[in-house]
Amino acid sequence: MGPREYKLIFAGSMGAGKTTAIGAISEIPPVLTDVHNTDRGTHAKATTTAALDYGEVTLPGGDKLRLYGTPGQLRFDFMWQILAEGALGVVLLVDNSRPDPVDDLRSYLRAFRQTVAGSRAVIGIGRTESHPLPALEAYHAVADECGVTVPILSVDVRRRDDVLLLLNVLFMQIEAFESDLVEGVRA
Amino acid sequence: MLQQPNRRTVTTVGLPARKEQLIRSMLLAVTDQTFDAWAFSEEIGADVAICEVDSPLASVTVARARHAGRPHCIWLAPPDIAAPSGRRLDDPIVSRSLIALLDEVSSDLGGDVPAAAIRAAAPERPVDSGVPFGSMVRDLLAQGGGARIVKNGIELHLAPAAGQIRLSHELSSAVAQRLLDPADHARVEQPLVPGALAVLPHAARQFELLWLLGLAGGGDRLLAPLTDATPVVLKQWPDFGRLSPVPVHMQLTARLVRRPHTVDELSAVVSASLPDVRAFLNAAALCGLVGTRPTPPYPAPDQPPAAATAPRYGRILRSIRSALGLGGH
Amino acid sequence: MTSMVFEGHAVREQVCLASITALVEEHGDVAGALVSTVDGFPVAAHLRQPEAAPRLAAMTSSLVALAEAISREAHAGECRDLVIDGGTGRVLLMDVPQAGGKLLLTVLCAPTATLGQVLWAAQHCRRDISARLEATA
Repeated sequence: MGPREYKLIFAGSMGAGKTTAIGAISEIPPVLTDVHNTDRGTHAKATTTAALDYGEVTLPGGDKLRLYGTPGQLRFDFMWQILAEGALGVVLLVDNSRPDPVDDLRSYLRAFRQTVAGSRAVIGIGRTESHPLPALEAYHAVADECGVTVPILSVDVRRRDDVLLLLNVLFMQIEAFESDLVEGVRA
Repeated sequence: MLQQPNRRTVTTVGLPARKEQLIRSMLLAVTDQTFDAWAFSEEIGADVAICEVDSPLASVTVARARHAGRPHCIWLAPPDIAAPSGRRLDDPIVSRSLIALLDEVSSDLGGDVPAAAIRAAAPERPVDSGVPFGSMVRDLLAQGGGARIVKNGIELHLAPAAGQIRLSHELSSAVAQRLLDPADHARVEQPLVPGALAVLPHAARQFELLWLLGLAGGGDRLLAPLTDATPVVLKQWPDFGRLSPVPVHMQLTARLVRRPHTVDELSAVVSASLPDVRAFLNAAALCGLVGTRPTPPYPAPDQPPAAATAPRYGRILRSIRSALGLGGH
Repeated sequence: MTSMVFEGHAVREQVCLASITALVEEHGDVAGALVSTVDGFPVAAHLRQPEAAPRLAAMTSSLVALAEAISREAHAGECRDLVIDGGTGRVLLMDVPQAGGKLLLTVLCAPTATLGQVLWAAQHCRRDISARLEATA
């Protein structure tokens, strides 16, 4: 008995820090599928993830926790479906310095709606130090709009502790959900 | 419930592109620390113009300001360079200085705050220490108008529009404890008049202060109107990215966002003491995150028996926590 | 069959379109072709379902990026071609080196296609595109 795959997904817009977050906790140097970014008008980064990032953590007993980072752009949304299949949970990363980060979150909440509705998502908002607006309230409002309650935290994914915090919160949510199941309680 | 901030604009005159860009970025960063809400404008008709000392355009702007009454000019120059009379900002720019100057201009511009004479009219008054300090701060923030609070050697400025409060000391649990010390009364001045006070060196978000005050108050009793018998819920997750996360707080939150619990139920389900649970609820309540709902009738008759629904994730999550070095469950 | 060019570098688009149009028209076994960027934007397409071009361009980008990662892991060198062998058709993906930045060529083949012949034709098309783009540079 147990889940089919031990898999965590990191999703969010380009430049939000998905590759960085995986790098912060993966045992192996992350496997990247970076390609040259030809759309410099939309984003200044020289490269972008075309397929996925892959990292790993070895668990006691020899099993692996697999970490997958998705490409950010909407044209790669077929990858989001593929990668989210059977995932333990999803970490949604938002870049508060983007032109409309609240709308970015709306797109991702819709794309991952099943995982989100199953209480297996956590949201990390980055760059709030240099870009304090929009405030986190705006993101809570979007979650309400989508009919869900999701943990939303200000983070800097360059810090390993912040990435671990996101995962810890995610796991606590899952455990609370399971606890209700075991007790025969419907939320 | 908060008073709407006045919207003000800043432009630059004669500055090189790099410095203009710096000022644009700084405005974004200080926007919730100033009395009014400031935004960058390309227009010469802005409220404030930051002027390069040697620029001929700047002299034109000053002449115009003399006639039209705007913009308010601020000279930008390195400390060792003389500037014409008037307000001055040292280059390189320190955000605290920028905030102070913009607040001064806010005061001159007036707007919704009455004249500076208010400060003399409202005498300092002690506040009954029977009112929990945290509740008082929360109420002052909600009223709008701002306040200056002095207690036990610590000074706080609550500005109406600002998401940030300013403090004389860096915010910590120890500072929160000092603020709750019953031996000293709090002195409160309202409203907060911008520009009339020195800018305090430390800043914190409103919810960070309220959270620490709630925890520091201890768990002997819940803040009114909560009682031990009232089932409570959390309306949303606190921003644990900014509050020093303690595992039990996150466990409590995970339970409370799903459905109502009483203090006793929470204490049992996460194995925490009653005072710890109460302190957490007080902190969340001060931040406006706690709600109450009538006790619903829960378990549905068609739910499979508990034993048949074994947890899918419990074992694997313990394993993952262990591998990542995440304690606390 | 609809031909399409996409916004951006008009000359590049025209050159690619001309080459893939020739490829499709001269080989009965080739059902369609697409040139796209490494990060998933279509450049020129000659497809029975033209609305599929953007989606196909993105998927090609992902597949090739992943194939290159696998090639590196397996120490197989740079990934030059990728062949997907399906029940009702084949898909060839190959890179088109050129000075302005590598492009990707996707060739959709009928199930009756002889792999060797289609590979030859696709490689010819790719050389043709490279040469013409170099000439216009």
